[in-house]
Amino acid sequence: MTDALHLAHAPIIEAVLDINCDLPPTIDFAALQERAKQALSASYPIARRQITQRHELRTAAAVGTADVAVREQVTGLQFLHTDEKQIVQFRSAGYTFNRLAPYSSLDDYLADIEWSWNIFRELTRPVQIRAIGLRFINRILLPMTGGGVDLSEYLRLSPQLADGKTLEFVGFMHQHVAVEVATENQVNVNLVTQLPENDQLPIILDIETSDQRNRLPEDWQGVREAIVSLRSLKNRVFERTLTEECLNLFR
Amino acid sequence: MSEPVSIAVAGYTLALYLATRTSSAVSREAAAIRDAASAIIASRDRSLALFGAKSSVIDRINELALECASDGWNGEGGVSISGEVIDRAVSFVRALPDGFTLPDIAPEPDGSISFDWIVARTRAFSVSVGATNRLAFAWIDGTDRGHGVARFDGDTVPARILGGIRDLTDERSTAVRVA
Amino acid sequence: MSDPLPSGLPEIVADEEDLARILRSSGHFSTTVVKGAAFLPAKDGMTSVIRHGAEPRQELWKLARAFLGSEVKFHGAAVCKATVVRAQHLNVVADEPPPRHANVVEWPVHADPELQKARQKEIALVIASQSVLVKVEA
Repeated sequence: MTDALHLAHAPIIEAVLDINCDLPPTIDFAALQERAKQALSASYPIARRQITQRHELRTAAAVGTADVAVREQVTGLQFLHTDEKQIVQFRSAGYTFNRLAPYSSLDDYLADIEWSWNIFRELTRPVQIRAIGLRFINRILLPMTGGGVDLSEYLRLSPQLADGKTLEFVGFMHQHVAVEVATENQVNVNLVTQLPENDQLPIILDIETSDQRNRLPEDWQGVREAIVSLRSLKNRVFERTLTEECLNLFR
Repeated sequence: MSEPVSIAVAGYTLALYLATRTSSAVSREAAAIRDAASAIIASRDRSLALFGAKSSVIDRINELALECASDGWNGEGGVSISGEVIDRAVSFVRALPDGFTLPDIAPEPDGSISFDWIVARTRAFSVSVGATNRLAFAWIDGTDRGHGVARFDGDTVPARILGGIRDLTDERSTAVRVA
Repeated sequence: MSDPLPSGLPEIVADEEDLARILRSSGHFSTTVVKGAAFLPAKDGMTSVIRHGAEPRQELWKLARAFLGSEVKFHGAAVCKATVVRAQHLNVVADEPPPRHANVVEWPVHADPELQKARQKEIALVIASQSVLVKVEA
């Protein structure tokens, strides 16, 4: 959804804000878990750990046997709303805020983001922000007629077959990466088809924007400005990737 | 008519590879993107032309890992190379820009893997990939020398490491403007 | 003046003495060049060397085998002068038995383990650049 367009039936499936940071080398998520849970429980009562399990198999001396070692490590924490549609993550790479559908407007979530980010900062003491990423994953259902759909009616970026008379699409993935010259923000666009369902062709339009500049963790004003700039880029890319016909599907 | 877009060609396949990595997104649709990108990467990896050189380095990593699979591999308490180090080392190779000069590799006593760009006996750049995401690196260039530490996020080789290697090996990258 | 060691060598390692670092991995050298990784210290903070030059070659390999035992394979040696090591503010101290064995010591330490490693790597690169590669004949 573009906030400027205020689409009534926005196709947003998930919005993700990443604030990637350098955390102190001694960070221990297992030790942090209780304090984080208490700090966030008012809005995010469900807490989960992300565990990475590593299984190593090495051939042993006896033929046909193997030594097995399993190592487990807490590599992140997740805190969820009661309906599990909104999530705050503490990861080894930094902080993440996820909002699943239904999604209203980024402005509605900024206060919550600032509050939970400050808790993350207080508990993990990040040394430096490395990058800020804003990603919107949309699922667009294109109406099919006669078992087919003309992609060019809905997408300004659509692949072309070498021979449209004898070949038919079964599926595609498109990706491109670009940089916004004025801001040096980057945008990564993925378009992927899924299998048709109920005479509709689902297409995932994934727009991931990022600001790779270093910032101090306490500079919330700078972080907020970066988020707004990334949203603006994302909105423009969304609008210009889709035709008016497609945008009308969401009005 | 759409506005011209400037594209920095640092490695298109890196962007695609990034789409295959475990990300912070949790939806099924995010997983669908990952699966689609993974299929393309897997297809590319089967091509000698597109991935052959990096594939050779990865093979060498696996050979060294076998050579150093047990503690004490060097007769003086050398730490075995763990699966985690191997994974990080492979990620490092994948993260190198396409067409970049590829390094030699060596095992280190602490179980790390060293990536070495050796131009001459007195001109070398060396990066250690170990148990943490912080890479120790050092270089010599005649009588000039230095060292440092840089963080590796698993996807992008730190700029100061790439820059150091390029200074030694004279690698250059080119930005392409597309209208 | 102290007694000579069991090997007959003086206890103090002279600057002009040859030191041979036995190469235990095929990855520790390329066609003509020794890599820095060959010299990095073990967990005990020391790098083991043999007080012997490239010749006589068979004597060098005999000493290497005596030190490593029969289980550990080796591929050759990197030979440099003790003064090369000392120029990097390290030291070489005799440590027998086994015969002619010494340790390179006083590698830099730092509270940050990666920074410590980076400093050690730089020194190892310099020593390697001034070493001669001697390969085990096939």
